[in-house]
Amino acid sequence: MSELPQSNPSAPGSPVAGEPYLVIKDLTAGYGGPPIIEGVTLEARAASITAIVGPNGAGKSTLMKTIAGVIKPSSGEIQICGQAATGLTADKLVRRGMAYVPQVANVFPSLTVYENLEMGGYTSRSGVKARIEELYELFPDLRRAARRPARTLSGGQRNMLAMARGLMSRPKVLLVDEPTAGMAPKFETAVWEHIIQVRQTGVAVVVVEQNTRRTLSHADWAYVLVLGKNRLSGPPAQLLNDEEVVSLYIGGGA
Amino acid sequence: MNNLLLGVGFGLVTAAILALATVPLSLQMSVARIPNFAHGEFLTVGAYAAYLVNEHGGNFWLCALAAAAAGGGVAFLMNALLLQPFARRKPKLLILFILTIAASLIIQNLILLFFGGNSLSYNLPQSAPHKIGPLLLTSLNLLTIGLAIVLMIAVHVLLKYTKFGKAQRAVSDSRDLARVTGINSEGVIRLTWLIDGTIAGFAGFLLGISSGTLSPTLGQGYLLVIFAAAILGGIGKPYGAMAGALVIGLAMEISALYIPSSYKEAVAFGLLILTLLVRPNGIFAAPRASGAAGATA
Amino acid sequence: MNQYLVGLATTGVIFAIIALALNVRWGWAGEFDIALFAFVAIGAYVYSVITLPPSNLPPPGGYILGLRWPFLIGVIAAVIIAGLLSAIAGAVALRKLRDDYFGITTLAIALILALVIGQYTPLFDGYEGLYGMPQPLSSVGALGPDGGNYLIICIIALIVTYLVLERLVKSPFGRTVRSVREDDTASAAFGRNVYQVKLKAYILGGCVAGLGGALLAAYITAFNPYGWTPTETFLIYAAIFIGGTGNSLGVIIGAFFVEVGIQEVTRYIPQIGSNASSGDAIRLVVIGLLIVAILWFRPQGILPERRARDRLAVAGSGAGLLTVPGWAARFTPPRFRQAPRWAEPASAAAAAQFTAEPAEVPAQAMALTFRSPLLVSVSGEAGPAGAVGAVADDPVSLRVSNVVRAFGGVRAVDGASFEVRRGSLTGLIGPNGAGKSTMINLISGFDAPDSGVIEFDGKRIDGKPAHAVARLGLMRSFQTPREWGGLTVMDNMLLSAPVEGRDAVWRGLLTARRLKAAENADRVRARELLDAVGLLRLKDEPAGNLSGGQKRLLEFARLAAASPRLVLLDEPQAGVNPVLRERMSDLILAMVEADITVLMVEHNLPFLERLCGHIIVMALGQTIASGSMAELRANRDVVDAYLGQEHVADV
Repeated sequence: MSELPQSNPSAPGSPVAGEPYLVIKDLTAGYGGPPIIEGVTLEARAASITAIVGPNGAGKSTLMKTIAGVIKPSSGEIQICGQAATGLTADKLVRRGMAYVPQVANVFPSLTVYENLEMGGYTSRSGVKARIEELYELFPDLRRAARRPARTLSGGQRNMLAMARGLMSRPKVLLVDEPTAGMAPKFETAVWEHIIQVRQTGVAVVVVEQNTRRTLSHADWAYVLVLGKNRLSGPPAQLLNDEEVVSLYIGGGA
Repeated sequence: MNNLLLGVGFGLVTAAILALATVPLSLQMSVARIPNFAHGEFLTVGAYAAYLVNEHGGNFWLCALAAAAAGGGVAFLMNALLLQPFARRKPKLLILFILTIAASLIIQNLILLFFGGNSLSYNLPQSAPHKIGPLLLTSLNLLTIGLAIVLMIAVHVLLKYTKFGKAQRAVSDSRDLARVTGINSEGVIRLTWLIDGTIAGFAGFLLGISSGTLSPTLGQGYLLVIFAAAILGGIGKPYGAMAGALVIGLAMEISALYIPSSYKEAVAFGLLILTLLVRPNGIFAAPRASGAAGATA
Repeated sequence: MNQYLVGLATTGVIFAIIALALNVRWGWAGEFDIALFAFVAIGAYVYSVITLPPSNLPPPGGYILGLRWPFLIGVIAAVIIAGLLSAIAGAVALRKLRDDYFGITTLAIALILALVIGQYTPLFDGYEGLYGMPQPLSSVGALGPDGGNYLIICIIALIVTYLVLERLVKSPFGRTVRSVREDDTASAAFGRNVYQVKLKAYILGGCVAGLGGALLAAYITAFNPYGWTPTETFLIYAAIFIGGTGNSLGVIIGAFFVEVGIQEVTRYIPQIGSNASSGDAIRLVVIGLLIVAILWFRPQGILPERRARDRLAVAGSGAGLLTVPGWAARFTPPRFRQAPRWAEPASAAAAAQFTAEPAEVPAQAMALTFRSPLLVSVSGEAGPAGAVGAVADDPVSLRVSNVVRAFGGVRAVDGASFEVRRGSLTGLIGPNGAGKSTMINLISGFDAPDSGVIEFDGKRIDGKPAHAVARLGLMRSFQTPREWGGLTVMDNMLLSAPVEGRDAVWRGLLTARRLKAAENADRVRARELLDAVGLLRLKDEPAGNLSGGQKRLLEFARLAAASPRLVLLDEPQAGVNPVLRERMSDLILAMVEADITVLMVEHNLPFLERLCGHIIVMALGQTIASGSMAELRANRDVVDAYLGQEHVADV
């Protein structure tokens, strides 16, 4: 397991072999004061789940928001499918194949489930109805709630809707910020099942999560962020059993 | 009883014009969230544009068109040239409010400059009164009410069934999430201002007809009544604005039967203050949740 | 003297007084009041009906009173009545309204007033208005608005108003008002009743507006509702924006610029066509454009608000103690009668120490510095107002019992209970969403629990508002430091000292010299504290200019200045660089050394571990464990709470 945050596709045993849909180099960003994330580098490949974990204050959410175009980076590069995408605003990034599912305020509460999905397809010229049907197959609960305003959904259902909305634009990269936060265990399992299904469709899923152990058990590659910087990266199986990771969270170690 | 019904009749006309003036404000505030002190000027501009066309022989419909176009243009420009440039600096809401006050000063006095301070009025054919059941209304009254209903339905259709309208509701819910979904929030806001001014300009024309004379303060004088209706219905809720306009319109006209009619507006202002104190989110929302002042995130 | 110029100057001076009134409400307190001119009108009307002879107008005209009393009484009555009506209007408009709604409410009040006065003719003769006010002071001498003599009266009024307001703005009252404008949350956290402060400022503004109105009525000898519209108030706002919000001199300059300057310039523009109002119209368009330009290019105006200078009064000057004279004692609430112990003047030596460059303060001395003169050791003399020795026996300072707080359907705090021992340094940790921030808000009074009990030193504090909790000696910090950015660092420190009735208006007005001497002790202590945190050299900088880390240090210094008994620290080292973190540990330890109980929420566990002996863990709104860090690390539940469970048993 290396300190350098690179995943080498030709390394023996590397499970992640697809094209790098998302490449981040040396990204630095903040909210005006000192940077929250500094020099972060990572890669997310097609048909894979890339996990970003780390203790509180690591800047994981800020990293997500920066990649998604919600925050403007002060330096660094973002590439989507090999094309430069640094500094683009969120709505333009959607057209480049990025979709972002925020942790909070991730659905439009006054719009119905159907309308939320429609908005997800805003940038598509046609085929929105058909796409919604496809997503109903993936998330049957949503079909049942189609005409209900999104604010009447439970937290778990909302996160499902948020993810489905993200998938409407057929993205190459799906950024998901803490999909299981505050959820009952039953829902956690359902969410992970969906994320795995999404991976099968070829999307590069990038997940930030609080439940570190669970996330590591599902991911194909993981980056551990501490205080805004890359700290560790590698195959999740190794990280799961590593004392160093535990100590990062709970202290008492190096 | 007859008097009461007469009052109701007037109330409906007032409510109709008020609704046409208030719904666009609520629409704008739901999407762009700027308490617009210059909103009254959209009406005034519309009224005077109609006057210009009327002077050159335009009929009711041409005047209405001119009013709508003028109102829409001024609103669009005010946002594009004044509000959005300032908004990029992320100022406090109060600063934007003050800017709309400055805009109101400028627009109002430009009108004063070009048209003078004398009262002007339209030259439109007289309108015959009709008896509709127990109510007594002129054809113009009926047209006003009818057009108001048509435009309310149009707004409803816009919001509920068109892609743009849904995008408006999305931006209203969350500007950031809308952007993340691929919606150009700033573009949606610009168009919303255009729609705001267009409907308000038309309302100004009707207001000009209804009050008989035009003066540069036509719109501003009406502004607080409009805010009363908007706040009663719940700021940012276009449907609430329709209800608010109905309530305020009827309240004003019916109260005029019992107290001197010159206090009509005081009734509206009183309702405004009451609403702000008791139900600041409008009569359709729950009372403000209790909680100490200044809770941090 | 040229009569026209005299007239112009008089209008300018009166306008300047009215602008100063608005400056109190907007410049000092940040209240966007659109009703100002209504209070000018009230002043004008009251003056008129006091100085006019009884009404002999045929009904429905007429007006009330008509006492034919002299000029001075008319003016005083105008000031008082305008102040009273401001109290009523302010009480209505200030009830927790957002800034723009506040403005709209004041506008509504003003328009209702205008409507009533215009319509209800027996009051002030309706739209006809009042006229024929006798020339001021005509019984005394040959005075009148035609000569320059009335101008002199107005100038005197302006100077007096200016001096009074200057005195007030520099007083603790003025400082408190400005702090509310800067950050009212911080003001509440440091013991200010924000609503009351804002109301006082509103009333004060109303009084000055009444004065302006009276002078206006006396000058024009006529007044009617057509002369006061919202536009008039906006003109005054223009004057303030241009001249300099918050700066009295700037406001006066702005007033002359707008009222006299622009008036004069536009006078020379020829009338356009047959439009008689073209001059007025152009004038207002220009003013509107000027407002936009100023807000874009120089929002603070020509003369920005002045920074307070930090000066120590000469030690021993005058009576440093704020004892109330015997005859007034009956009317003074008990807590004001005794001079608080902090009022003792510093010795000359201590004062001299800080006029020179500060030397390095040894670390051990820091604890001594933090030791508040108010706190006592457990041997129990009387502590801050009310606390008595019995409390010192109870080892538990803060007790939280079964507290619940839900938002919508989500239980942010779900039956949490814990105790914080007096004099301890206790940590509060837990993963995201554990409810720690909500708990801090509940304890500090920024939120109220749905159920459960919170006790501080034996007293129940759940449901008490933030400022009341702060006055009991329980202070807090915020996740991002909240300083009063537009005020100097020293002002920030002075504001943080215990309140104890010092910022009353009357004290600022009448006992300014005594206050200055009494504040000496605070200034000296503030300098010691600033020195201890390393910010002494920045004491005259606006606090908003400090870096993030410096603001944090300032927050510590302010908390220490407040002489608290318990401090809640909300993620104190978030966003702080490693060097500063060291400093911060020292400061926190110094606090505890000084007998201040500390409860600290933190995510940085190594940082916490070095400092806290006892740590409480929250997760999902409940307290799940407590103990030393080593114990917690070995606790399976705690580790699971942080790292999550790998495999979930399907329910």
